[in-house]
Amino acid sequence: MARDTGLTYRKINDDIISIGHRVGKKWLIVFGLDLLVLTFGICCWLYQLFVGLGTTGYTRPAMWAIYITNFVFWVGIAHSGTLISAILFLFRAGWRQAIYRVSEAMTVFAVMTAGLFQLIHLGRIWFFYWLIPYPNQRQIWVNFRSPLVWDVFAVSTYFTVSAIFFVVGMLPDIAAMRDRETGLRKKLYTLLSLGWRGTSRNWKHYAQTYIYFAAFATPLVLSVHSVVSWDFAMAQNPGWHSTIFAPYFVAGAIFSGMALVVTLIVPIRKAFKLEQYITDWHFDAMAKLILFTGNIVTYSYLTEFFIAWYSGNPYERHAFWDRAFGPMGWAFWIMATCNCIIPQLLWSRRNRTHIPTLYVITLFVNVGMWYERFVIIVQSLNANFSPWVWRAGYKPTIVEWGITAGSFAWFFMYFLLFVRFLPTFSITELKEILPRPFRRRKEKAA
Amino acid sequence: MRRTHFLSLLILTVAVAGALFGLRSMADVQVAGQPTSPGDQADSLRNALEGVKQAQQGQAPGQPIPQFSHKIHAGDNHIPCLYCHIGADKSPVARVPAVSTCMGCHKLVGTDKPGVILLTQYWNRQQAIPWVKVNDVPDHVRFTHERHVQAGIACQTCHGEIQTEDHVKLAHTLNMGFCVTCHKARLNDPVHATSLDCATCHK
Amino acid sequence: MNEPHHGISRRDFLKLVGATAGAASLTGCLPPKADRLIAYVNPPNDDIVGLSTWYASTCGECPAGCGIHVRTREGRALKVEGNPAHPVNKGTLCVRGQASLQGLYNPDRVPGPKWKRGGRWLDVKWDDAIWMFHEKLAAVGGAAGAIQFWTGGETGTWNALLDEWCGAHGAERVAYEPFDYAPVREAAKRAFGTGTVPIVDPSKAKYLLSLGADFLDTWGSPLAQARGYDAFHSARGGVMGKHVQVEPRLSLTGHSADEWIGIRPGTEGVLALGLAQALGGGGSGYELARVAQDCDIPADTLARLVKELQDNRPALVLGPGAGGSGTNATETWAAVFYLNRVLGAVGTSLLPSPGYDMGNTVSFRGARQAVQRLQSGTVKLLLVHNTNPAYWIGNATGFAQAASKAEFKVSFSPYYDETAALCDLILPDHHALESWGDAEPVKGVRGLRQPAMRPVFQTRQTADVLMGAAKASGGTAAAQFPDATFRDYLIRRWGGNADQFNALLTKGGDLPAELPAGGGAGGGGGVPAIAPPAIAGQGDFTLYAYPHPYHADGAGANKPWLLEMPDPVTKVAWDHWCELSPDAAKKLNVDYGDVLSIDSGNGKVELPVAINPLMRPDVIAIPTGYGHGEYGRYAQGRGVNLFDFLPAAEDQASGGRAFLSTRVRVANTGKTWTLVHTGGPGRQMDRAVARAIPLALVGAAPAKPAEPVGEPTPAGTDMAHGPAAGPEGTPPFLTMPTFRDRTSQLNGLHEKELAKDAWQPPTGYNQYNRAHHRWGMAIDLSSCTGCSSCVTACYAENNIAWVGKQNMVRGREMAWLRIERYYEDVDGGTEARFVPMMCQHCGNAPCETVCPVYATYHNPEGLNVQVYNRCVGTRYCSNNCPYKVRAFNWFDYDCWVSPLDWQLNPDITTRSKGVMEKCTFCLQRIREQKDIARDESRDLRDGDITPACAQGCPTQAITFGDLADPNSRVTKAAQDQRSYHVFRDLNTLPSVTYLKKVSRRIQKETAVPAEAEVEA
Repeated sequence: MARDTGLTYRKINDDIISIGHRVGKKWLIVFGLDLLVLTFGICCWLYQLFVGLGTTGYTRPAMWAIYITNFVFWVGIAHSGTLISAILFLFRAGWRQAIYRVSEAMTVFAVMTAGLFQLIHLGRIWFFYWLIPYPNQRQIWVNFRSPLVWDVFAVSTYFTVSAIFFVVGMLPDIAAMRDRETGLRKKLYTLLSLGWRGTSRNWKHYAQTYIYFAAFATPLVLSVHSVVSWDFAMAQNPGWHSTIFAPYFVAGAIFSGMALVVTLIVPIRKAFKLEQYITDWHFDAMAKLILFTGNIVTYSYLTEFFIAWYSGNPYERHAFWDRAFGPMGWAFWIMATCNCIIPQLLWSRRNRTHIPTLYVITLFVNVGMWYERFVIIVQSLNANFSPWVWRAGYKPTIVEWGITAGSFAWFFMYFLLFVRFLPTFSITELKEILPRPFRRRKEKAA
Repeated sequence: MRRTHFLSLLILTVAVAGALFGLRSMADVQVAGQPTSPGDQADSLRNALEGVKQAQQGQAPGQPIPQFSHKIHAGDNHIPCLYCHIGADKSPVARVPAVSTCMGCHKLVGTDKPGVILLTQYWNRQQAIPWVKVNDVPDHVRFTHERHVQAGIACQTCHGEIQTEDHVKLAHTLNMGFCVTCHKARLNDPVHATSLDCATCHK
Repeated sequence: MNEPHHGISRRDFLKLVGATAGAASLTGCLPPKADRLIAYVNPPNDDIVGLSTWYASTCGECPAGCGIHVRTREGRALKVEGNPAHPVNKGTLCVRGQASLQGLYNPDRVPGPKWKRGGRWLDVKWDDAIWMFHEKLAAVGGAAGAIQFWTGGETGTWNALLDEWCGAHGAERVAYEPFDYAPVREAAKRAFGTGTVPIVDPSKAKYLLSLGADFLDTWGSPLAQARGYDAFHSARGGVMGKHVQVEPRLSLTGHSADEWIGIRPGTEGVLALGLAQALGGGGSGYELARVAQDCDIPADTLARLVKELQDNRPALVLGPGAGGSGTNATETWAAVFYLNRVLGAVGTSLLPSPGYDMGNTVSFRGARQAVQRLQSGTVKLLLVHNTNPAYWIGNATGFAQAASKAEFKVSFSPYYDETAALCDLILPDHHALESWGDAEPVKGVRGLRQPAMRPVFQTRQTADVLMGAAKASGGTAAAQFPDATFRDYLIRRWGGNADQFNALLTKGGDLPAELPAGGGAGGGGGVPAIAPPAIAGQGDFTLYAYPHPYHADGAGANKPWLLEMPDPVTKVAWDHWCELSPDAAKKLNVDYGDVLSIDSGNGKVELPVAINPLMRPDVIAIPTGYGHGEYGRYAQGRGVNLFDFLPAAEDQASGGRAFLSTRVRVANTGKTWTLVHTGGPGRQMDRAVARAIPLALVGAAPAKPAEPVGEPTPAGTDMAHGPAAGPEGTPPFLTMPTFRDRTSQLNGLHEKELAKDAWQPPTGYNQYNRAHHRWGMAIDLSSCTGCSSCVTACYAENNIAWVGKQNMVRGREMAWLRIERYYEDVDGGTEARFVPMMCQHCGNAPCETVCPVYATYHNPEGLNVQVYNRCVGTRYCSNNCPYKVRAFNWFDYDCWVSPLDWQLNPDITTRSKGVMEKCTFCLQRIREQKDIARDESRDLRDGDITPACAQGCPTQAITFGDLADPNSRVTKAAQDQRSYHVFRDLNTLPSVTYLKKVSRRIQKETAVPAEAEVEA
């Protein structure tokens, strides 16, 4: 499925490797602002550490809120990365080559961010290591029945695998950069390229490893977010206790993930003039995926409401009525608008390939998916079993917003560094889709 | 609201303090052997200033009456532990002998010895002797001497060969592992079966 | 700052940073502190370190004079409990009694003698202070009327000493209390020739008609009455007397009533006479038609009342409490007593003689006259003890201004109250728990009071100070007080035999088994006449000022426990409020928290609204006890002082204060106030939290057995958890197999089956099945009156932090036990149901499975245990708890301002920030009893263990015991036909069984959708 884009191997090398040098002042400014926000986030967190979780708006019944929302949001983001890089690779979907490196990077950084929130939301973070099973003098163990423990495993596994996958995938490209660069960068790349020489043995092993990890990562795409969803599904709260959660969360994850990929790639493409590499064709494909998963999510919402009514369970019925028309119903309607209605625009090809439109739509999707988690967590807890504690008392405080903003800053810090120092696009695979040069010479001869 | 205007000032100071804070709460956990909550930061500061340290395993901290020796009392003269540590067999607490208890003998015995002279001074001042605690369990532990003594556990099991010591030293770090090990071993003890229920010791 | 510290101010923060940095650099690598072992110098012989010592004494919170047992450890009072041998309270204790500890350890007590110079309080030595006092006494030189001594209404020896002392020094004694029952006593004098407040024993009646007496809460001797009421009304054995409450505003007592009728305030007497006449009791002019019009009660309702009273004799009738006593209060009560005679209640359930002695208090009128004398300047020396006229009648009589006329003013108050603030010298008295004394609430019931601990502050018992002064003054006065100390004086009056005296001390005094009942004394007389009350002021609302259930006359207002605990009726905490009926609220277009301006013509106040579902629309009700100008950090600046707001009206006959005396203009200010109001919608949304059973069905075999043995497993349950037949007769849901629980054996489940129900840690935890007990609790909703005594007891026993208003607004209260109050629409109006809700210790606990670190787990004895210092604070357990009874420590609450922290129970840790906590069934008390049983080498007996909540409960609604023992009271209770579990359909298998409230007003049980579906 080679497509003639008028690219040559040399041009690809030039374009991609030079990205790190083309960033210029703008990068510094953005990076500086990013660090500022991050510092603010850290300060908020330290304040919370000193004074106590009470500095958040948490209350009974809403004992979980924004932190877990962020956790789920970031884990979700992580998924599309692996989907694109692993699953689509196994399915040989050609359009992935151009974008999978960015999404992989996104995966790794998103998981790193999600992991933070598992800790931040703890009441006594200084004992976080009690969540890890290890032989200790107290001679006690973790409770393997608790979904939170599953979380620990799921997230750590996912991080390990996707990180390795990410690094391995970059080997040849880093080597290529090593051969171009000089000075400090050269040293760095020499280190990272693990002595890659591009021999056929190298390539053989590389190809095998890559497929192997792709196969290894694939089930994780489904498992990890299923586990995360069980944090809720395993509890008996109305609005949580539901079997649909696993598939529903996975779909949602890919939905939000794809959206964020677009959100990230569009500016890069513009800044570094990569229109040749990332074409309408790519965006069209991604948009289709967004539309597809978006509709799955929409369907899940409907199912939830239907079952709540159909089951006749008064708790469920109240929970879902409250979700849509309760005191915090506004959150639900934001979610519904962003996740269900707006993506429908993608039915038209014009919208799918008209970058500004697509870009705005993905922004909405990001917001919508964040609110989805917020709605599931906070509103379900508010509409719990005991009427005595019903109270829409939860209002996020500046500390929570600060830490949330900080988490985005944390994510983008890594991403900016990535753009600056690592091959943002896979040189190798971009070359793979080019028609082979000597064949072209033959054609000329003929 | 305090919280908000406070944040404006937060930027640098907290980072420093926080880092240190992180360090020492970890330090606490490792050293103490059991979790300690950060609630008692002020405490540890005070201790540090007082310079009173909790004994490490095998250590014997200095005591207000350095001459006092369990070896002489319990060892050489075979005075039963419960003679001074009244209540160890009927209350959770093994009482540290009241000054009057000491004086019961030392009005007459060894009145010329420097240690006894010190003791007598305390008595004359009607002042309690500020012994330094050697064997200690954290506040969240409910240990009862009564049950252990009545089950016939020798004092030495936890307190070491005290009758041979001039200065009491910490024989075992009395952390959770220490208790659990013993409780597990005697889980099926026909007479005095132990329990592994957390609520047995945690309060 | 009057609330615990949450969040930190800039300065604190910098301090903290400094401290932490210091701590870090200094102690970062140092081990934590080694404590000092401070032993006794001379050990007291009755104290074994580590074991609690109990002292029998008498409660000093109100004139009811209940007997108490004070638990002390290492010389500190930790907990107050009722003395079972005392006929007034028989082992129970009310909210105020429980909270007396926070009076003892109150941080705003006067730490020692104080002398006012230039408006500032200077510390003085006791000797100097005493000298100063003596000097002033000498200066006055016993001139008649030169000394005015204000005291509270006292009984017993202390009262005698006061009179004796005043006599010796020619001092005028003014004993004043705002709620002195003057009208009741005056009426009793007329009707029975007694002059005391009659003892009320509903248990002897078949029918109880209360015309406004809040007798389960603030009127009379609530504990004794609650006990009788429970026998009368709890329908044990299927018999249940009918209780009709007739009042302008639904009171706590009204919540328990079978019928509530609104009445125009002040017309209770008319109603009484009307009923008497209709019942053939003679009299004329009070035909039902007219009564109906006066009282604004439908005539047919009256007719029905008459009939019911006719058919159910003896019927007991009670008159209005303080709130309803207007200028005609005495006539009203006279009418009530008259009606009681007609109904044959006198001598059976209404026992006028000897009755409760309120001390020889002068009425409001008496107090006013005293103030006039003060005003006239004849009084040189003003002494004040245990009374607070400046707060109670400051406005009404211009007390402050008058007091300034006296040359020297001495207060003996332990607190900086409003009156003490006016004085020149404070010689602080001991708190009741530190003092010697006695009380004789009813003639023949003589309770002794002894110090439970050494004084917390540099205080001296006023009795000793006075005796000392008498000695110093020499002459006859000295001769009258030969004794060295008040204790000796006490012993002398108690027969002079010290050994006998000590023997009595251990019992708590010279106590008969039952309250003495002299029966109907003489008196009698004809039909009393009654005039309508004079109600001043303009406006469409009548002001109904009633005593606050916890703060009463304002004495409790500086106790954080009492401020934090929601009012039993409105569920408002920390704030002062005014109550409106829903209609009135609609008319004024206000809801909870909206601020009203209330204008009585001679004053104007603003208060936030709380809505009371059953109230006359033309009445606005406000509790007393708030609005302190002095008195302490927690009380000051909270609400308004109603005593000042009310006009200085008095009941003509008795001279008692007329609280029902003014109309007010009420307007919506448009402002709102963040009112702490717990309780969500206040309705149970068909969730069967508070269930009731029709009286008709009680005793009768229910259509479906309450919890049939061996019923099919509810849908979606694992067999290992599913119900199975219990041992003989025990309903399965009680001995439900729980995770590695002894009861699994009882149900004959095989180990293997249990093993597979969950992953088991490799550390021999499965040895659990050696346990012999399965702790459980049964709560009889028919007995619960919602008084909240259990809640305070829980705070006291378990070191529960109080969090202050800011956090309560966020729903962060730490209470382990709360009283849920639900209103239910039944035919004939609204029915209230109380549900004490604490951790249910589920056999199949949702919280346990989700905790990642086993901080909460199931104990072999069926307890759901929370290990605080294992908790990492994921809060997942609370999310998964359907009862929402877990409380999270959002901060390190520094609410135990010294010396409040002296009260902390050493048997339990205080929880640090980031930790979840909850009810433990008072694990430490279980342990204590087990230890005792083992020392006596016996098994635990049923009833040995009583959790704090069950111990104090005035109606003994809470039963605790061993469900594995088929004969225990709790098992029996749990087998009762009325037993049910909250949210049973969730299959949590709770250890707490509720017994449905018995209701007259429902014909059939309300269907429980959620449950129906499960049991179908």
